[in-house]
Amino acid sequence: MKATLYAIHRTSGWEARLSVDWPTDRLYWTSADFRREAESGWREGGPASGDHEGAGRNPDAGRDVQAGATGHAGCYPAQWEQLLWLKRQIPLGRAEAACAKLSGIKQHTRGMRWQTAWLAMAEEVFAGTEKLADAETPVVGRIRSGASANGSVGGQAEDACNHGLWGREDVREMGKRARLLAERLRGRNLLLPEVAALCQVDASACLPLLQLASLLGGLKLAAAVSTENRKRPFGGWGRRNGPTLRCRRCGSGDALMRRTACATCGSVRCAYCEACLSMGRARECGLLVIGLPCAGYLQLSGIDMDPAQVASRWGLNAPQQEAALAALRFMVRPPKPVRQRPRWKWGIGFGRNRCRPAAGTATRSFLFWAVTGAGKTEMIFPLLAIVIAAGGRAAVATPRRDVVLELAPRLAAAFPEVRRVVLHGGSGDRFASGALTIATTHQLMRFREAFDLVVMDEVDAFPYHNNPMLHHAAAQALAQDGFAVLLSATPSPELQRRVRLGVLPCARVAVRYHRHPLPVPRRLILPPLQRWLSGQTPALPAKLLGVLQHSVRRGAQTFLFVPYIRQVEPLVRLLREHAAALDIAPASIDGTSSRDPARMRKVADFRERTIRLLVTTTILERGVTIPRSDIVVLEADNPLFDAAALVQMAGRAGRSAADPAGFVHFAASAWTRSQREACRQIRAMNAYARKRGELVAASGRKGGDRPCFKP
Amino acid sequence: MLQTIGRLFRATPVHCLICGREVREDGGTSALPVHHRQVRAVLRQLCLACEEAVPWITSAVCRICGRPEACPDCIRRKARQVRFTRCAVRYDATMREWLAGYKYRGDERLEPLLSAMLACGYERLLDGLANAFQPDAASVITAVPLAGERMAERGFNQAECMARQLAGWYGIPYVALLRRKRHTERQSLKSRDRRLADMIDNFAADNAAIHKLRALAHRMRRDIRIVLVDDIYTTGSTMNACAAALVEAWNMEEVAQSASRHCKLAVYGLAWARS
Repeated sequence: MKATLYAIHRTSGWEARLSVDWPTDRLYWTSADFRREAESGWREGGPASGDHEGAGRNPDAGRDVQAGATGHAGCYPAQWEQLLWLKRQIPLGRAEAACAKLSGIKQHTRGMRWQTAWLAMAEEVFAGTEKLADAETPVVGRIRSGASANGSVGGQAEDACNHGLWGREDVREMGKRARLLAERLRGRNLLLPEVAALCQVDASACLPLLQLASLLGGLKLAAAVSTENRKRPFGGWGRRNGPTLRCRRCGSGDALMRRTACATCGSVRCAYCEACLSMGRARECGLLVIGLPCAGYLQLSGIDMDPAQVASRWGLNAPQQEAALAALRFMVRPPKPVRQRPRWKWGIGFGRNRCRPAAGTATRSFLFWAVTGAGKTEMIFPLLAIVIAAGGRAAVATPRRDVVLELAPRLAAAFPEVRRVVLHGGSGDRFASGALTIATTHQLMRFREAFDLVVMDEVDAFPYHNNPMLHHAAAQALAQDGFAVLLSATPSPELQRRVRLGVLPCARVAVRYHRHPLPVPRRLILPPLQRWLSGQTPALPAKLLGVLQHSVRRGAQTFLFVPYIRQVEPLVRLLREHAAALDIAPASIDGTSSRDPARMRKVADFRERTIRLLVTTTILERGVTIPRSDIVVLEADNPLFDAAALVQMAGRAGRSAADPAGFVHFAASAWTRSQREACRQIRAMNAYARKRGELVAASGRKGGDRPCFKP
Repeated sequence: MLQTIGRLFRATPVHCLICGREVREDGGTSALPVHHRQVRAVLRQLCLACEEAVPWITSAVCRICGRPEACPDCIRRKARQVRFTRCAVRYDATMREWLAGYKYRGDERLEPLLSAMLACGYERLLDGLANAFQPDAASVITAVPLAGERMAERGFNQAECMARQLAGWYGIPYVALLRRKRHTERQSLKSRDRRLADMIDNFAADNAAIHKLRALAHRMRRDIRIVLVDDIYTTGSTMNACAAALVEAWNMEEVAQSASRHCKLAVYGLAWARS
C-alpha cells in the first residue's frame, strides 16, 4: 500500500510522520473540533478504569499504559505552525525510511536546515520528476496555521471542511470505534488483511480507524518489513554497508527476503519475507498493526505457596513437585534490575554486544530439563494456575499441531473455569482472547507483548531447532517482565551451556514418574541397512530377527526407526515375510511416515495393540506413549539421527510402571559420536537420579534377561 | 568424519522448489516434455518425487481445448474466437496446491517453475500449429488481465508474470493488449452458466496497442498470431471473451486501414492447467 509523508512544525520542532489515511491526519492536526470530538469519543470507547486491569497488576505500570493510551491528549497544546505534505503517495516502506531519515536530522537553526533537508528528500523521492524550487511546488502541500496563542483555532478553511464532511456525532463515533478496535488489538501483531478479517470489513474501511487510533497513541502502524541502515564500524571492513531488511513479524533478515515487482505499491523491487509466508505475506509495503502491550508488570510476590497443596492439587510426585516449586519460587522472586552493559563510545563491538536483544527478549526464562516420560505437562499446571490466578495471561506453545490438539483437552480438564483459546493453522477462533492460549509456535507471531507466561514445549525439537524465527516469535509474544518456561528432555548444547554458566535457571527431573531408571541403549552391530534391504534378495539379519523374536515373546510392541521414508515400505515387506518366524500375523506389522495419509489410524492401531511391529521415521520420536514397548533404531549411525533424536527414540521404551524396563537397541555398523553422546546422557540422568535417591530400589535388570541373539 | 570432509568438497546442493529436499543430481531420469534448454534447467530444480507428481498433458485428445480426454464442452459451444488452446498440466490436487502457493499465498519463488511448466504447453501449441498447417505468422504473447482491485490486493498478475517469462525464453514479444472493464467476483465460485454470462463484454482491448500491432503486420506483410496466456482453463469463457475483444478491436481497426485488409489475426489459447 501507499502512504503519505508529512511533516508538522510544532513548538518542539519539526516532526516527520506518515499516514496511511491522509484525510484523517489532516483533519486531526488542522481542525480543533475534529480533534476534540475524536478524543472524547476515544475516552468514551475505552474500558471503565480499573475494569480492564487485572487484580494483581502493579498500579504504577497500569498508569503507564493508561497514559500511553490517551496519547497526545496530555501533552498537546496544538501549537503547530506549519504542515507540509507530499501530494503524491509513496510506498509505505519507502515512506518509513524517509521518515526515519528526516527524524535523524538535527534541528538547530530554527528549522531552516530541516526544511532544506525535507525538500531535498522530497526531490529524491520523486527522482527529479519535478524540480522543486521551494515548498509551494505542486508536489508539496503546505498549510500555515493562523493559530492564536492557545492553539484552539485551526485554519478557517479547515474547520469549514470539517463541518462539511463530518458531523460532530460522526467524529465522536469514529473515535469510539477506533478505541474499541485498539482495545481488541492489544497485544497483537497483525497484518492489515488480518485486521480486516478481525473487524469483518474491507481493508480500506479499517484504515481511517487505524490511523486515528495510531494518532491517539492506541496502536502503532509500521511496514511489515523494515528497512534499516546498517552502519558497520570502520566502514564495514569491506563488507556490505547500506540498507538491510528485517521482517517485523518473524525477525528474519536480508537472506530470507525476496524482492519482486509489486502492483500494490508500484515499486519494482518491493521486498517480502519468505520465512513467514505461511502466515500471510509480510511485504515492505504491507501494513503491520502493532497493538499496545496487554499487560503491565504482574505482581506475584504476595502469593503464598504451600508445597503440599501444590502437590496434592495437581497430583505431582516428589521430584515433579520439587521442580515445579523451584520454578514457582523463581517466578515469585522480584525481577533483578537489568544491568546496562557498558557501551563503547566509538561503536566497536561484536555479535551480542552490538545486536541488543529486542524488547521482550531480556525476560526471565526457566528450563525444565526433564527426562522423557517424567510428566512435564503436569509440572507446568501450577505455574499456569498461579499466573491465571493473579490475573495474567499465559500461553502454551508447542511445535506441532497434533500436540496442540492433544494438549487442549488436558488443559481444559485442569482449568475448566478459565477461558481458553486454541490456535493452530485452520482453527476457527483466530481472534478470540482468553487467559490461557494453547497454540502452535507459529501462531505466536501474531502476538506482541501479550503473555505473562509462555511455556515452550520441546524446545530442541524440529521446528525450533535452528529456527530463529520461532524463537523470535516466542520472545516477542512475551510481555516485558514475562516468564518463558522451556521444556525439554534433550536441551541443545547451547541451552546446556547456559545452564552450566548459571545464566539460565533450570530444574532437572531425572526420573520418570514411575521412578524406574531410563533404559540404557545397547549396541547391535548390523551391516548397513542398504546392503540387506535393497539388494537382489533382501534378507533380514539373524541378530535383528533374534531381537524382534525376544520382544514379541515377552509380549511387547516394537518400534523400528529408520532414517528415510523410502526405507519404510521395503522393510515392512521384508518383515512380513518373516512374520511366521516372529509368530505374529503379517497384518500386525505395518509402517508409517509423514507422507502416510493413514498415519493417525495406524498410530491408534498401534496403541490398541492390533499392530505389533511399527516401522516408522522420526515423526513418532516424540509424544507417543505405548505402555509395553521396545525400540530398535536401524542405521543409528545415520547423520540424520543426532543425539537428541536418539535420546527421544530411546525414551519411547519403558514408559509404564508395569513394564519400566523396555529394551533399546541402536543397530548400526558404526558407533558414532551421537550414539555415544545419547548413551552418555541417559546414563548421566540415571546416575543423577540415583545419587539423589529418587529411584526405587535396585533396578532388577543387570544382564539377567538379556535378549538372546541366537537365530 | 569422512562425510564431513566430503561435504566440504561437494557442489552447492540444489533444494527442491516445492518440498525443500535436496535434489540429487544423479536422480533426474524422468523424461521432461520440453526441449528448451533453460526451461529444462528450471524443471531440473524439482526433486524426483515432485517431478513425478506433475500430471503433464503430453497429448491432447480434444484438439480444441487441449483436454486429455473427450470434451463435451467444445462440441456444445457454437461460436468460438480462440482457434485452439493447449494446456500444460491437468489440474489435480497437487497442482491446485502449487498454484495456490503462488497465486494466493504469494510465494513468487515458484514463478519460474510454473512458467517452465507453461512452456510445456507452449511447445504443444507449436506442435499443434505445425500439424494444422498454419501459415507463417508473427507471434506475440499476451495475458488475461486482472481487475484493478484484485491486482492491488495480490500485487501481481500470475498469468502476466508467467507469460513474460515465457516470452523471454522463446524470444517472442510480450504485449499488454487487454484490460478488464469491471470487477467480477472470483470465477472459481461460480457455475458454468454464470461464468459464461459474466464474461461477455468484460474485457476491452487496448486500441493503441492493437493499432501498433496492425501497423507491424502491414509492414511485415504477415498475419499476426496472439498467444493468450491464462493460469487455469475451465470452461474457456474467459479466453473466448478476451479473444472476442481482440478480434473486435482488430476488425474495427481494419475499417480505418483498409490497405492491410489481407493481414489476419488469429488468437490461440495457452493455459497452465486444464481442470
